[in-house]
Order: sequence, then structure tokens, then C-alpha cells
Amino acid sequence: MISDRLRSVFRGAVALAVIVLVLRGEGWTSPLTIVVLAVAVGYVIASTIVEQRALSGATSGTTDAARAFGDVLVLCAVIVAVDHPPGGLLLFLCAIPLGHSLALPAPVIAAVTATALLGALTIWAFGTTVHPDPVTNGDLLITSFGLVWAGLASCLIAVERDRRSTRIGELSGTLQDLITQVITAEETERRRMADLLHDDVFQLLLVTRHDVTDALEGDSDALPRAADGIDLATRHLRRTIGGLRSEGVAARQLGDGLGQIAAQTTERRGCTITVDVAPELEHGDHPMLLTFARDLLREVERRTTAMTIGVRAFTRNRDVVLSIRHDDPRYMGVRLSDAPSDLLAAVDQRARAVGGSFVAHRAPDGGRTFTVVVPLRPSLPFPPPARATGLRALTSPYRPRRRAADPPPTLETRHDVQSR
Amino acid sequence: MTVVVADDNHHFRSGMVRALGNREDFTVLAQAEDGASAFEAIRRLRPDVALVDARMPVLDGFALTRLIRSDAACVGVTVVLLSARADDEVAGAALAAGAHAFIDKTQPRRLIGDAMLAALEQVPAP
Repeated sequence: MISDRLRSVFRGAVALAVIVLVLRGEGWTSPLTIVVLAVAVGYVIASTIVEQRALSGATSGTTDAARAFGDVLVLCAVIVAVDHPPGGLLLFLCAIPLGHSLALPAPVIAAVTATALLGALTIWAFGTTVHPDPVTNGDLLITSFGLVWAGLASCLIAVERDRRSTRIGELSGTLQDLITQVITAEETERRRMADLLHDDVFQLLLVTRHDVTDALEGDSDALPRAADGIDLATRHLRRTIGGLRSEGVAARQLGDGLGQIAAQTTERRGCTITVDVAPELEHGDHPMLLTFARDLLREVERRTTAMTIGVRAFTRNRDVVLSIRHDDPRYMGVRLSDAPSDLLAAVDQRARAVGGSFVAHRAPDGGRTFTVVVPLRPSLPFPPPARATGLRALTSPYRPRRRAADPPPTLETRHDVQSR
Repeated sequence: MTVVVADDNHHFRSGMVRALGNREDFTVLAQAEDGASAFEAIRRLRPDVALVDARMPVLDGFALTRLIRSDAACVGVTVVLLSARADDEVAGAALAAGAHAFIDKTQPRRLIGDAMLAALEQVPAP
């Protein structure tokens, strides 16, 4: 908006300078010259007013181009109409492509420059044949030189303006994508929290409530079970809260973070998870990779019966690779959907948003493997490798029961962490 | 009455199995922790009632109910769907999937058992 108004001011100033230059000369007193000058002044005023009114709406590129060609035509007409045109008058043609370089594309500016050059040649040819005081060869040469340079500079300005406009458009698109990702991630996190509380604490409290009811109805064995259930629910709630906090703290250490997420999954699910982090990544900072691991393990936990899970993090070229493999051959959730509730789709979107990739494929032995590849951030170099290799095995004695004859499962779950 | 109990939460599942086992009118044939295992058990054992949780891995309770109702080998199995989210939307979805009854999971175990008996009585013999 401001640049459009400045362009109008610039255009009016050029028109005023042309008029002053003509009026200071000797050849403007003929009736034809006065009429042409009056028409030119009227054209400049009218087109400027039209342009200012158009600023309230969308300005048309066609209108801008027509105004540029009109400026060339009017200036040439004024020069032809003056009996003794000063040589400097032709140089004002150079202002036209410059003035429109902020609005018109480079090809149109080149066309305007060529038209102005053609006009200058026509004036020179017209003057040498019929004009009493023709434009000299020197004036033509200087004008041509100035027009070529002004046109070239204007085209470069227009090209740079277009390039920046395209870049701004791309950045706006990226910003919209990122906002979408943030909203999706927030929704996914909300669902994850709800699942976490539902699957852990809520179920325990539900069972405890049942035990309390049974105790009130005379089942003497139910009361100790209810007390144990309250203890267990309290521990789960504390661990859930602590887990959320510790994941944030551990976000500065990839190895610890993956170990904690795996331990939490093991406690909830009762499965064996092996975590293998490459030494160069063990103490690295990659919170996004932790988020990916957490969501993918959640997917495995919620939608599979896998009892053996392998988590690996390693570098490949300039990328970090997170691979999560489970042993449930019946798992079918390998087709990505656009549903916001789909954890795999959310992981895929986030990975692509940061220039990475995500694939889910069948392992040779029938299980499934999730692989996330994200760029290694060069601005955050990893510290030297630690002595520990980063391999952990998290095991639980709990196994699912498939027969009614099996004894009921114990509420207690043990976890052993061992280093390779 | 023979029952197969399907719930991914082993605390709830074991408590329900224990409560039903203490009653003389129930015999628990099997328990399953996911929908696919439950379907295999139901096809194999053909219980009178399948007590199915709505939220389970591999196959959720609604999909499992549809499978049971569409499988010729499961004719005569009464499906009772459980959910802790006991609102009209979930209840409607359960009945639309083909469940014979929908029970609020927060109800006492005794009432859940009684509701299973009531559901079985209301279902006409195949």
C-alpha cells in the first residue's frame, strides 16, 4: 500500500518536472503544443486518481501495464509536440521502467523499456525529417544508454521482488503446515494423556471400586484387594506424573529418554523391550525423536499383542534413524490414514514436516518395523561418546493368560534393567 | 451359563473372572486380552455369553461383536459389550454393532453378572 502511494508520488513528480522543463523552453507556445500538454496533464492527474481509488481494492497487473505504456506514449507525444524540445526531456523515459519496477513483472518491464526505446528512435527520426530543431544523435545515444541501464535494473528489481514474493508464499505455506502440526500434536497428546489415565489409573480405580462393593456385600477377601488396588493406583498415578516430568528432563539425553519411555511401556504392558542407542547419540539432544518413540510404542502397546519390542537409534549419513520393531504378525496398522487420531499418521506428518520420513513395513520373520528418519541438527553437536554402549533390556515376568485354568495374574510387576 | 471374558486390562479381567467363578450360575470357559484371541476362543468354545470390552487391541469390542454376529460358527452366542464410557453414543454404537446388551463397566460385578443373565433370557433361542 505504501509503495503504491510512493509510486504515485514519484510519477506525479516526474510529470511535474517534465512540464517545468517544457515551460522553461521556447517551443511550447503553439496551440498544438498547449493542447498536448493539457491532455498530458489531464491524463496524469486522472490516471493517478484512478490508481489511488484502486488501492482500496485489488490492483490489476493489466491496469499497471496499460498505465506504463500510456506514460511512454504521452511523454513521446509531448516531446514531439514541443517545437524546440530540450535533449534532457528524452531522459525522462528512463524513469518509466524504474517507476513500474515495483509492480510489473520483468517481461512487461522489458516490453515497456523496448517501447520507450522505440519511441526515442521515432522522435529522433521524426525530428530529423520534419522538426525545425531535431533531437541530436548525442541525445539519442545518451537516452538509449540510460534506457538500457534503467530497464536492466528495473528487470532485476522485478525478478528479485518476484523471488522474494515466491519465498514469502512458501514460508507462509510452511507456517500453515507447522501450525497444523502443532494443533495435531496437541490433539494427539491430549488423546495420549486420556489413554494413559484410562488404561492405568482409571482401570485400577474401577477394579478397586468393584472390590469395595464386594467387601460391603460380605466378601471378606475383597477388602485387602481393594487396599492393594488403592496402593497400586496411587503408585501408577505418581509414576504417570513422574514419567511425564522425567520425559521432559530427559529430553536433553536421548539414551535416558528412550530408556524411560521403554520402562514406562514395559510397566504398563508387561513385555520385553530392548533399547539400543548408538554411542554418538546416547547423550544427544533430540526431543522430537523421543516423541516419535513414545507415540510408536504407544501404537504397539494399544494395537498389538507384541511381547518383544526392539528400539534402535543410530545415525546414517546426516540423519538420525529410529527403528522400532515388534513381533506381532497379526498387526494390520501399517496403512497410514489422514485421521487426526491415527498415531502413525501423526508421526508421518511430523517427520515430513522436519524434512524426514516414516515407513512401516513387514519384517522378514512376520513382525512389523517402524522406521523414522529425521535430519541430524548440525547446530547441536553431540558430545563425545560415553563409555556405556546404551543397550538396555527391560523385562517383566508378566505374560498374557490365554486359558481360564491359569491362575489370576498378580498385581505386582517387576522390572529389571541390565546393561550390555 | 458359560462365559468368555475379553478385556485388555488384566486387573479388570481377573477380577471379573474371579467374581463370575464364585457364582454357581456361571462357568468361565476362557479369558482373552485382545479381540482376535477372544474371537478364536469364542468360535472354538461357543459360550452362552461373550463378555466383551469396547476398547481392546487388535480388534476392538465393536468389530469383535460384528464378527461374532456374522459368523455361522458363533450362532447362539449372546454378546454383552462393556464400556466405562457409558453414554447414549457408545450404547447406540454397541447395539448397532449387534450386541445383545450394553453394560456400564463401572457397575458392581454382581450387577454385571445379573445383566448378563437378563440379556441371555431376553435373547430367543436360535
